[in-house]
Amino acid sequence: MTAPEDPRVGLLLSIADDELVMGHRHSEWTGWAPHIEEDLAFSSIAQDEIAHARLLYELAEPLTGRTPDEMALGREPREYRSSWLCERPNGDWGYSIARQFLYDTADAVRLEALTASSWTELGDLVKLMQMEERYHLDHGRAWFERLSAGPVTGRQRLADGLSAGIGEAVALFEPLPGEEGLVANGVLPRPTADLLSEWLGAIGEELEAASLDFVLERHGSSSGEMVPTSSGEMEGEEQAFSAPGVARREGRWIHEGGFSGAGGRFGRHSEDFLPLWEEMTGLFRAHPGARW
Amino acid sequence: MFVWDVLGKRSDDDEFTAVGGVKAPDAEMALLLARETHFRHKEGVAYAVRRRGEAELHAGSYGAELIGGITDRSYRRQEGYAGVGAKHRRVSEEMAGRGLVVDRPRPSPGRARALAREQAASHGTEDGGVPSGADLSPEDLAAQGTAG
Repeated sequence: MTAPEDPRVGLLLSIADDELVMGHRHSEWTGWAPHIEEDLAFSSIAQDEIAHARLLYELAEPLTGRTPDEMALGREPREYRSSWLCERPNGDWGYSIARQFLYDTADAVRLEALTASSWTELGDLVKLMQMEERYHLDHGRAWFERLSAGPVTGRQRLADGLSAGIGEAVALFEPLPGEEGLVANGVLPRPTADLLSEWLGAIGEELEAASLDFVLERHGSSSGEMVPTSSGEMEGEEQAFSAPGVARREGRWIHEGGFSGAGGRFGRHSEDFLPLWEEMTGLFRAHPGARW
Repeated sequence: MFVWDVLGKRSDDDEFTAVGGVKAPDAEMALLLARETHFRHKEGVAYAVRRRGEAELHAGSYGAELIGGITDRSYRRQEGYAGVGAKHRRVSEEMAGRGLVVDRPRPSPGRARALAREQAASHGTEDGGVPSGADLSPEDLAAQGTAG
């Protein structure tokens, strides 16, 4: 499946697969987080994300004819629509927090937009998700504020994580297959480019307040090219996936240029996705149809 | 890092009572962590933290409807394991029909000791005590289980 037949499926999967894969990555901290309280908190967030994915797969079921389990665990790698940011290994705590901050602030923007969707079932479901996502934002921001305030090592690790993740966070807003139609009929109330603009403006202010906006400068206006997967899951001609750069113009951070090539929203993944997929789906593939 | 007492209300009519503690650098982080460490299974309708040794109470901002989340979390509870024994027996029977053994049920400690005595007798140990591991075949060990 290079592009779902119904663009609504692509929209649902772009969120659901992000949530599933992000939840899987967060869950890898279980037992390893810096202290026991955080271990529980981060594990809880992981479970929330996976629960949100399940809700979205359930909504997709009439369109796909596949159960939530089949959607979560029974697809080929190229059928997933997760973004590259979510696929990356956890790295250190600094990267994990930076990624959670970037992901959940971006997720909040797209979810807020979808509350006005003409697809009322989706709008209602998203409102439900937002109630739990509030905690994720609080968590990400609490850690962001404390790490950015120092000591030096913690701040440096957070900055390194932000620098590593910012370009791929921009790519969370990669245009969706069939996006024009989705916007025209109100299922997606605003184009992804609008959402990217809103997110960059907001996050730019937060990074400036913490004197960490240099991570945006590092991303720059021409450094958005990303390395495609080496997993052999791509089809056709390989073209580097490139996200827009960012720049500060008239007191506000904006994106410049557009996307080129195809990324996660078209089933092209980072080199880190295949090992994750193999582990995440291993039991399901080993015992097809098993019930437990 | 400070120690913070965690307090909760079971119902709106209750007063705050101590339910545990967390370590955190400040009140905001203590509240953030207390919400998931002590209330993620909807154990209350309100929560608060108080730095140990101090009087000031810091109340959590999440209302009762949001404490413990809103999506289905039943699988997080221990009750989620209800019926596992029956499922195990059913699957074991199905597999036995195919000539496969899923696992051997572990005998209770009393049964295990009795079984060991019987096996000791059959192995001819003079004192009738429990034989050493070297005296038991793999089948004997499997029959006893690995836990007491």
